[in-house]
Amino acid sequence: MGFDVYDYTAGKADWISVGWETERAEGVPREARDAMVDDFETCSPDDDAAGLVERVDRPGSVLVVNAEGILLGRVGPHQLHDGAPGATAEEVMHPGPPTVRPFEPLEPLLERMTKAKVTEMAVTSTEGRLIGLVRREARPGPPP
Amino acid sequence: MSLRPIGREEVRRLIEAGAQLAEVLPAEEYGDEHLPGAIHLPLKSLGPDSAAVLDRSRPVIVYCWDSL
Repeated sequence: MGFDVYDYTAGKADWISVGWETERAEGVPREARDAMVDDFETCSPDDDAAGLVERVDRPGSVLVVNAEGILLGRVGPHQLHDGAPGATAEEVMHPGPPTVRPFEPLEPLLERMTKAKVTEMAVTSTEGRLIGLVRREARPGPPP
Repeated sequence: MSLRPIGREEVRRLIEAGAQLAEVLPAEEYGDEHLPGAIHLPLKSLGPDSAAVLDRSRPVIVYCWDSL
């Protein structure tokens, strides 16, 4: 055809997963990205676990992310209780928490979270970078 | 015709330099959401006629949902 053609192989899912602007139709069902919040606690893998006590005391847990923002695990009350003195966040964390992508349909996600008694779900990019949190009290409604 | 795989940073750079974006997914998916400025060029009907909407003097970036 005589063109210089490039293939954006990671595609639309990749673009959406990092929160870049798109042209979106009105009336499409809400997705995780429409309900996610950014008011959550994070720490580094080598942070002193004992120093997380006050931060974990609030409902929820602290999310462990590396220098690239990749989600590695969660530290909650159970992990702190069972951790040895001097342990790091990485040593006590619950690794590989369940995550969803920003384009995960919201209503089915909230139903699954309710059934599984999960209060928070991490939202990550296709590369595993933490970009937000969906809380179970989020309620689907008209899309923005 | 050369088909070169690129990442999203290069997509942005090429768009800023005047490249054209074309989504090859079915119409419903394109209609729900697409990258800013992307035209719809469904894979099933891709050919000289459908490609006539493109400007031959500018590079074209095609994309699908993901790499799978």
